[in-house]
Amino acid sequence: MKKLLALALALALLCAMAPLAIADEPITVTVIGPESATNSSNEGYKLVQDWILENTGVLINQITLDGTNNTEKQNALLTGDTTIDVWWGDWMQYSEYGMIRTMNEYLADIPNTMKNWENFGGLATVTDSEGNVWGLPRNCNRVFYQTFIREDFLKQLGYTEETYPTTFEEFEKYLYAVKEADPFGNGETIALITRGNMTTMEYHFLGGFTKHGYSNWLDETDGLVKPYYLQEGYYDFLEKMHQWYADGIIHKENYSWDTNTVKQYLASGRVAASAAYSTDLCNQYINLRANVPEAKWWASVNGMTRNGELCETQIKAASGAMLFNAKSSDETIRAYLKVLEFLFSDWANNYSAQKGPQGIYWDYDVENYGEEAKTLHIVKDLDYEAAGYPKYSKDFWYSIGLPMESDCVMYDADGVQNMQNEWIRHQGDTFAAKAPFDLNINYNTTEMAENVMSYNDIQTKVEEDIMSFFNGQKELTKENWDKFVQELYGIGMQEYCEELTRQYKHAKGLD
Amino acid sequence: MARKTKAINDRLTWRKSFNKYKLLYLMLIPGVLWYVLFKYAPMFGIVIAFEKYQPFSGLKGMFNSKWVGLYWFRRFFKSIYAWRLIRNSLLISLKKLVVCFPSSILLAILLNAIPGKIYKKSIQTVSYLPHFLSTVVVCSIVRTVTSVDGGLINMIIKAFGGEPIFFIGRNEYFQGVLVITELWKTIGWNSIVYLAAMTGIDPELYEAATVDGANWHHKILHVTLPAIAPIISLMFILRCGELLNAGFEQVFLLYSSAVYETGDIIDTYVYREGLVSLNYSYSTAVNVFKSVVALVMVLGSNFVAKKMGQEGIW
Repeated sequence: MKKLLALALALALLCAMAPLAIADEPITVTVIGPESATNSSNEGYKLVQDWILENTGVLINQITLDGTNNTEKQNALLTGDTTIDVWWGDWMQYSEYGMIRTMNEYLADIPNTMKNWENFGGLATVTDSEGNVWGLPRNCNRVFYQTFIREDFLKQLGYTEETYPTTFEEFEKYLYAVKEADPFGNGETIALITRGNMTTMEYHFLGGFTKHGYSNWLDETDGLVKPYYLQEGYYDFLEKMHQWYADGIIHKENYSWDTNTVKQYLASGRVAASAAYSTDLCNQYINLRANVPEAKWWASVNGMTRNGELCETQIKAASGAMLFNAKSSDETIRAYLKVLEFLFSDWANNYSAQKGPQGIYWDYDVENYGEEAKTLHIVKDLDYEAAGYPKYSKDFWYSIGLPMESDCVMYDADGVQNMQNEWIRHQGDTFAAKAPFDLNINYNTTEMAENVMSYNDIQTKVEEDIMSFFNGQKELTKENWDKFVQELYGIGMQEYCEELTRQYKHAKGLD
Repeated sequence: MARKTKAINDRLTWRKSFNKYKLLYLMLIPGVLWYVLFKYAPMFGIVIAFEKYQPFSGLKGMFNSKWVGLYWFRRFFKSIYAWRLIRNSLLISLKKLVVCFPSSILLAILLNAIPGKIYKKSIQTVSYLPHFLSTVVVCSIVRTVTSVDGGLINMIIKAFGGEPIFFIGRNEYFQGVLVITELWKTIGWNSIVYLAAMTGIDPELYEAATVDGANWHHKILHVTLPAIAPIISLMFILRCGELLNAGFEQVFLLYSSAVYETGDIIDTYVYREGLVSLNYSYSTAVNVFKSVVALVMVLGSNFVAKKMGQEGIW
């Protein structure tokens, strides 16, 4: 009898505790991290995961992708068994498939996060014509393709600050001079690096050759919006790029490199000038200095010009956004927004998500800048390794943090300002570049592919043939270029331009 | 009446056989289940090639997506790149077949002819090793070896006064690189099956041939090859079913837009359309076409092999 009573009591206790145990379980949100996430140790990841859990009661299960073919990997994960609650991507594409939810009703939950975006105008890029907000903005219209030059190489070649190249012609002269001088040695200096595709060259230099730079444009003669490569001057641009490739200014293998390879070269010290994405270059600066301590990058904040035209083109914010799964529960979404609000309501929290908790990985530089360091967000890195803490790098730092990044001055442990931070502060307002003709227009590529049967063929042909002209597999002559354009019209360029025009007019409310 | 008796006898034989080999049938169940669950059941997914399937709509989407018939097939064959994709897939695969298939037979014959055991085993081990490397590693090695920036091959070219060549970035070399890489990776491993077949040849046949005055190449031609002909025929038929499988991983890891002309194959196209553009119906339709061609190739080569008096696969 006693045994029975004890058993009943134990069962009753267990039953009473069960709801408590469930109540204590934190809400778990599964997130595919942004590309900026890098290589934390498992312990470092856990440390910051616990820090967020302690402060919000939410457990973030962060999946980090390694930076190559991320769209494909992400799409594979999204169609898999695990429910992904939050990820980054093109809201137009995913909303078309009913995969994501609108965020209008949730915005009130994150007043501080949204306030940060106020001055950046990013919200418009994630809102459709009916006012539905499909995600949280990732970016805004900015310049991310500045042409950087190694200042230490410039000095070695006898340049002074007054004679640094600011025009395209001067830049070209520098490229040939630095290739000849080979400051890295053994013939290993790479005069100019790109991000491994034509697009980055177009962002950097096309503006100097065409009216609109890397942008669609309105052809006044027929009233159609047309793609950038049909602009007058594109042929001259391509001819110049081909000449650089043929002369060895651009590495023979550059067009087959993925982003990680480009970053490795940027860090190696071999590169004399960069036409890569500025973030790639800035984030590698710390590694570059480790390899070549005297290395320093320089770029003209007034932009580079050719015949008085700005060469660089501003990047459109496009439709990339932080997206929320339509199938995830309301509770899960609100839990994640709680985390965002925690990270974006306080600058220090946001920085801790990037660097690791304050006091361990970083602190305000009161020593050098006094109490003002706290209000101006002047920070320095701490030697966490010496203090016995694990490596942590950005896993829980979300790239909607651009406004926060711009609002600080970061120094590393050596007292050198973080280059990414320095340039993010500069490029938004002061860097001179061409604005695209259709700056605030997002074209719906899913609709495009449906309405223009040959849309994908056109994209493939353009990518492939222009690359072949660039690397000399196809001879670049006026005759061949005209033939290429005719072939494009032969497979449906007219329909493509008409669809571009239709979408442009629709977005502008002109239809 | 006679048919009825036969049916009863068959049933009895089946029951008898089941009772006799109960355990074996039991052991068969997991394998059959595996095939049904993972090979046959997923085939139902083919239905999305005839629908306008929305990605992420899961199984439900297969039943309630809009039926579009052969739209995606028509779209593929209207593409200016359809023929090129088929041509590249076939060409790469055929080149691999022509070079790699006889090479492994040749290697097996040569290995079989080696008298010294240690020497023979060493060569075998060395030739098998590349098989155990993942394609990612193999492709990294290829990139390094063929690089214009200190790669071994280009260093040799430069030493002889030539200009470095970016092999994997030029259309004229790309398929050659794929074939050589495949040969290096598979020649040893693929020779195992022929070596195994050769161990079954009666040594007396060789002795008789020697008595008849046959030299080594006579023995290969008139003893070894006829003895392993059934296995060669079987392997060839199986390989024919793979004719449109040009090696996705290998191509994907080495190609770039500069070599689409010779390197873009059906699988890479399906990958781009499916996983990048999320056009699942279209990419499934292209893959269904590929599977139908593969089936025709297997049936065709099986038929031809049988007509030629060789072993078929069933």
